[in-house]
Amino acid sequence: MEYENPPIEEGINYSSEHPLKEFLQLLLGVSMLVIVSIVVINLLIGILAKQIPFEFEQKMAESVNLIELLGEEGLDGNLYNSSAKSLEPALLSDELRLKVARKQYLQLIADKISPAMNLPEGMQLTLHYSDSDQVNAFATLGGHIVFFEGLLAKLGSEDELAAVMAHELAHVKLRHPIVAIGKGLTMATLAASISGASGSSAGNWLISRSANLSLLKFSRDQEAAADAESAAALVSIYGHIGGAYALFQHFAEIEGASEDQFAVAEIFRSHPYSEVRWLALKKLALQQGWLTQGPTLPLQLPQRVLSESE
Amino acid sequence: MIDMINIIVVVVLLALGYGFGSYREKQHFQSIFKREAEMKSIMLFDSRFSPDPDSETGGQLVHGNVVISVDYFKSFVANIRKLFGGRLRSYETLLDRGRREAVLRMKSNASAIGANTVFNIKFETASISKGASGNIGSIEVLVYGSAIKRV
Repeated sequence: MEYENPPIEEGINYSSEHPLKEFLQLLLGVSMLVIVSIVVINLLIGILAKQIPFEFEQKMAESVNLIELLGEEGLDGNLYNSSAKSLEPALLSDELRLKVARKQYLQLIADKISPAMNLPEGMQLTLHYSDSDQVNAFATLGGHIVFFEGLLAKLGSEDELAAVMAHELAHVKLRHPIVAIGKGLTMATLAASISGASGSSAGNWLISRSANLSLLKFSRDQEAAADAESAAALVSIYGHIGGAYALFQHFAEIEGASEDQFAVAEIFRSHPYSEVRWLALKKLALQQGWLTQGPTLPLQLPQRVLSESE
Repeated sequence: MIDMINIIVVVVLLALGYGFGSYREKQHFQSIFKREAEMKSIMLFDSRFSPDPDSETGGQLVHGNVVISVDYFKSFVANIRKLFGGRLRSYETLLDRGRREAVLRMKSNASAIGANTVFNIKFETASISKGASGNIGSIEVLVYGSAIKRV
C-alpha cells in the first residue's frame, strides 16, 4: 500500500498576526479600564472623604502618637501642660526650652495666618516642631502640622515661613490628608483584590503602577491647589506673595544644583518641581494682580534665647 | 524614583524579551521548515497497529523530547490576555514549535536506527513551571512511537 505525509499549510495552529499588535491592543484595553475606574473612584472619594467630620479625623489622628514620634515628650506647646506640668521652666534643659520656644513661634505664625485662610469652624491646628534635619514640613490628619529643623534652617524671612505655613494650612483646610488616605487605601484595596482575583501578574502590575501614578498625580494636584489657596492668604496678610516666590526660587535653585541626583520625570514625583510651582505662582500673581515682591519681615525664630540665666 | 526604575526595568525586559524572543522564533521556524522537508521520507502514523504488518522489519520505541521556554514579552502579553480572555496567540506559536521540534527529534531517532516509519505516535505536553507566579512558563513536549522499516 502507498502512503503519503503531505506538508500541512502553515498558519493554522498559530497566528501569523504581529505580536506587537496584540500587545498594544491589550495595553490600550487595560489602560482605558484602569483610567476610567481610577477617575471615577477618585472623584467619588474626593467628594465623600470631605464629608467625614473633622472630629472623626482628629480621633483618627490620635491613634498616631505624633508627640512620641517627634520626640516631643514634655512639650506640647505649653510648658505647663500635661507631662511638663511638674517641670519649672527654669529646670528644663536648654535644648528642650529651645524646642518649646520654636514650637510657640510656629504656633504664633499659624495664628497670624489662619484668620486669613477662612478655616471652617471647629478646625483646630496643632503645630509640632522636630529637630530632625529633614528639609520638610507636612500637614497630616486632624490638623497636625509638623515643621522640621532642616527646613527652618533654610528659611530667610518670616514671609518664607509664612508661605510654608499657609501652604500647610491650605492642606488642612482643603481636607487633603483625609482625602489622600481615602484614595491611597482604596487604590491599595483595589489593586490587591484584582491581583487576588485575576491571577494575572502582568495585569496586576499594570494596574498597581497606574494606581500609583494616579496617586502621585493627585498628590501634585493637591500641592498646586494648596499653593494657590495659600497665596491668596499671604496677599491679605503681607500685601504680596514675596515669601512664596522667594521660597520656590530658592528650592528651584537647590533642585537645579543637585547634579548627583538622578533626574526623575515629574509623573513619578509626589510634588511638582519647584520651578513649575514657581511659574504657576507667577502666572496666578499676574492674573490676580498680586505683588510678587514687597517688604519682608525678619525671621524671629528663637535661637538659644533662654540659655542665659533669667 | 523607585516607581520610575520599576517601570524602566519592565520596559527593558519587555524589549529584550520581544527582541530575542521573536528573533529566536523566526530562526526556529526556518529550521523546522527545512528539517521537515528533509525528513519527509519518514512516515508517521497514529494508528495503534503497523500500517503494513506484512512487509516490515525491526520495531523499536523512538521518542523526541523538547523543553522550550516562553520569553518575558510573550508571558506578559498572555498574562494581560487572561484578564479579557481569548486566544493566547503568544503561547500558540510556542506550543506549535515545541510539538514540531519534538516530532523532528523523534524522526531523527528513527532515522538513526534505519527506520522509515513510526506508528502509534503519541504526544504528551507538560508545563514545567506549573503556573507558579513569578515563574516564566516553560513546557516539555514528548512524542513517542514505534519505529519500523517498511520495505
